Amino acid sequence: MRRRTVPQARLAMYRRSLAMLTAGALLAGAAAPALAGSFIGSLGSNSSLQEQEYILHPIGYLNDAQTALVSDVTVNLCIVPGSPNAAAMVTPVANIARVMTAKAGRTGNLLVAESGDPVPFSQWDFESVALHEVGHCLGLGHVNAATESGLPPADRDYTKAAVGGNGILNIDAGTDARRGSSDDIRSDDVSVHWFRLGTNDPCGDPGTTTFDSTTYTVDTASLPAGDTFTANADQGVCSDLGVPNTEAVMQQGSPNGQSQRFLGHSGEAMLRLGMSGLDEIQGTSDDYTLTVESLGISDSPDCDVNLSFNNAQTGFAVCGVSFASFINPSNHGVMFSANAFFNSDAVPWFFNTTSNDSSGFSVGGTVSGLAGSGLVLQNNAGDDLAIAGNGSFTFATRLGDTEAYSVTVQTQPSDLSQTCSVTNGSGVIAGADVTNVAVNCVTDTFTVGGTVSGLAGTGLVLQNNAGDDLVISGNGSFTFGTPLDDGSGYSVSVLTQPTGPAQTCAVGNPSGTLDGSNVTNVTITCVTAGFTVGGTVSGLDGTGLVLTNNGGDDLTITGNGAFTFGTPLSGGEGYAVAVSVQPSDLSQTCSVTNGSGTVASANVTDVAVNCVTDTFTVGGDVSGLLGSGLVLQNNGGDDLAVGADGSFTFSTPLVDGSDYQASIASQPQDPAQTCVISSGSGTLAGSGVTDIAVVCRVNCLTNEVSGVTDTGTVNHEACDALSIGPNYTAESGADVFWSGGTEIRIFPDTRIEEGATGTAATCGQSLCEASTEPMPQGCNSCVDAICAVDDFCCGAGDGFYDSLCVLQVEATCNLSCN
Amino acid sequence: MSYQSWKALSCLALGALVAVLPMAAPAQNQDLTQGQTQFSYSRDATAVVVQYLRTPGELEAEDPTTRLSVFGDGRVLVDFPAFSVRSGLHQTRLSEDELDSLVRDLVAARVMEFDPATLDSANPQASPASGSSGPFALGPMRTHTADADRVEFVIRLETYAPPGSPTAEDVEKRLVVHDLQGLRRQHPDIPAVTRLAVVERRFIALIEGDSLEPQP
Repeated sequence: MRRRTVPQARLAMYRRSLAMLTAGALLAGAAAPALAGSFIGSLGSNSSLQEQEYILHPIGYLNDAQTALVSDVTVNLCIVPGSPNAAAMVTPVANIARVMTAKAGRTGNLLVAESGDPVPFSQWDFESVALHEVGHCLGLGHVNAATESGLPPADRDYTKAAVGGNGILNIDAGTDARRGSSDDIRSDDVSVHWFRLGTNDPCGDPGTTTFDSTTYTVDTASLPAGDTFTANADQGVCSDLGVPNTEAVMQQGSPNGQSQRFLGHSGEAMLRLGMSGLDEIQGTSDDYTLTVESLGISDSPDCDVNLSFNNAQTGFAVCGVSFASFINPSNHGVMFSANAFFNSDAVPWFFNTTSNDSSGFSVGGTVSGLAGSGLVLQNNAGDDLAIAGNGSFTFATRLGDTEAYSVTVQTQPSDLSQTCSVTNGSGVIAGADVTNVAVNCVTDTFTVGGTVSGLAGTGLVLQNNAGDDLVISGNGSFTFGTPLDDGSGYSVSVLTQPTGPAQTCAVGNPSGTLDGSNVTNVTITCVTAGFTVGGTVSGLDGTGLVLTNNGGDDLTITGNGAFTFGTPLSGGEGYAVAVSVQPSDLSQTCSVTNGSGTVASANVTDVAVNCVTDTFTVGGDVSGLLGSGLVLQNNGGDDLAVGADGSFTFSTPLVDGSDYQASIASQPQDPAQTCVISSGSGTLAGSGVTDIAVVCRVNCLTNEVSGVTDTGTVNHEACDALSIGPNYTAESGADVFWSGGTEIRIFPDTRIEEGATGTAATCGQSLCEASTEPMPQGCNSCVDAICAVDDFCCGAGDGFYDSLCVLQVEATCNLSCN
Repeated sequence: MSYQSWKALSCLALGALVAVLPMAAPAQNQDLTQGQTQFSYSRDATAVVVQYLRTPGELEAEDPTTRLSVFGDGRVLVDFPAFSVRSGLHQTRLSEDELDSLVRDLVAARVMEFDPATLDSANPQASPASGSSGPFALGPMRTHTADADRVEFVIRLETYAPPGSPTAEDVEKRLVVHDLQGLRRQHPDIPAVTRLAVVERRFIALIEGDSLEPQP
């Protein structure tokens, strides 16, 4: 285009003149809506015009060799593999890519409860927050003053601006008291906020396809008569202007219970303004198209914007970018990397599961009655869709007109047994989305029953859950008449005991919760009044012990001493006492002696139940062990010699509930090491201990190299004092490096053979003590490692070797200052 | 630092040539000193010695700030916003040595003297973008964190005596920084920023750590 021939040095002035002329022409004609936005980079306090008019272009606009501009820019969004919530991010990120590629701003892009918002009030919509952050990752800045302004929260709705000559932001909401509106009084603040020439309405539809410097400016001199500052598409400003539920996506601040999954007109305008290239003229050779694609969960080299949940990086959501400005024009820049981070614990996140892909036609409908989890639907035997709750659903894959669809249940709900059935599940696309597939889930029901034995009398009546009376006329199986929903509780009891002869019927396995199948194990044991069965419990320290007789007649034992089962037995009848439930809070094993036999003509009283507290082993894992002689102790004894890395277990088990405390009885030698214990103490609670961690590090404070013959390249180092010898030899060809923090001592018999080379270096101070002096680089390999991660320790920025540096001896060098 | 290098031209006993390379020992590190700065703080269980507040930029809520307070007895109390996943008060405990270390590191990071205004005039990292020549030459690489957290450090000392200055008593310092981790990347030439960012990571580690438990 011919404007490309304008010399760059004059372009800014030319552009300004053109803008003024255009503004005048528009002001004289019919008013057109105006839009507004800003870019990352137009943030500095530098009040030069170039800084204010900044436009930042997306990753990929400049080719990798930085020799040419790219006309078809594609920015790939990737979800970092392994990120929390990675799978849940897939659909929202794909939606965001489509929204950014479409660049189709909407009026009414802010959904609140009154306007069909799908996000529960107590949750934050990930897709909306991520759309804002991806906007940053493409180069867009805030439209409002935002937190970087340093203004208090209420004032952050003022329009984005840079400070003017007085060095501060000046804010006055004007007569309408609305922050960010066109009558704000901003003194010498400089707008960094682009707006459409002619009017200052940031909320309407642009109604034109021209997005360049002929139609947009940041120059407040081009504002309509009477306006004092650029207005931004804040929700309140738009509402005042008669455009409700509309707000720029790049307005900072994501509240709960709202969704904003589509661009407003300002976001669209700023993306398209950038696409007019460095000359800011649409239709010239430096224009570019912008396509945003989602690569899903990927660490491909093609990833441009990486999204992940990383709580160390942010308290909520950020986008960190790197970029550089062109030398000419210097008010344009290009991005090189972008990473969006989110905090998984900051808020309860809402993840959209519905695709916004508008090509073809969607297939979906409504789920009702769902109470379990795990329901998965399929369309045409694929396109799996996990359903988390009742309500509408839409398959991700859209179909073409006349294509067949067939919705089926791939996986029924599991934790609660339900059967979901599909109606209107199949058909052919007929030029419209399918929304009438109905999936109805019904909780499965199951019966409760069991077996009656020993019944000799008549009149036995059972109940379930205090109702559903069931008259039992004989021995054998029984089933209550009313099935119950899965997951519901049942409780069987005897309403009326038999008579003629009088009997006592006891219920075994009387209660529980239905769990996906019929209950058939309730036992009703009837005995004619006779003799009791009992005995004595000893050694019981825990709680929860339950005994049974003949598989029923459950008896909970609360302490040592005598016990008697509630149901008497007839003479000649057999008895068999067993432990149904062992004690729990203290792990014990109770065993029964004299537990079985035949009732004679007297009560049985000699059943003995003896409880013994369980024992467990104590152990863990040793790492970093190089030396020999490491001995561990538990509770001051039970010595355990450990010779190598790996798991260890003390030989003496301890009874449950007792304390354990691991300690080092003897540290390793040759080389001397210091081993430290973590998670080394506690109380046994029903299981063995395997998580004691013993980490051994080589002692670096002193190092005595004696009886050694070096060949090849060898380092001998110490954090403090290094001793060479006695009986040390460096053979011919050896290249040795000796390093001591404070000193190197060399014994007289040290031998250096002809052809050996070496260097002795001291650091001037111990690596294990903080000082006010920096550590010299190169004096010790550990020093070099520390300064690679914290160059402050070696003097960068007037740094010195302080306590943080000392900590790095262990953290970075894996050495111990012992 | 002292170096001695050699190449053995004949077999020799080095001990005859090199005796001992003694070096001046650095000053002994003592409790409640950092470098030549001396300070003390209250060990009272009710005295808040250190606070760290983290306020996200993009989050719009009634009170989006996470507040971490460390008391003189080492108790750490973290107050998460009411709407957050880990809402309410959580606590853990630092040993006396760990608390000493934390306060010492804050002093080492020069929180007491840190002036955020120095950042306004600091130059961005002066590393040119690669291939910055030709028609599309680029200026220095810059970084920016949009919606960055605003963090606030508070430290309360009973006495504080930097080198060459008289001892001040009952000193409280509040330091507010926007996008500290971003500033660290942008200004590697400012050691205080680097040090402060390192210390901030210790607070974040406490907030994100497994040792926090809901306060009974």
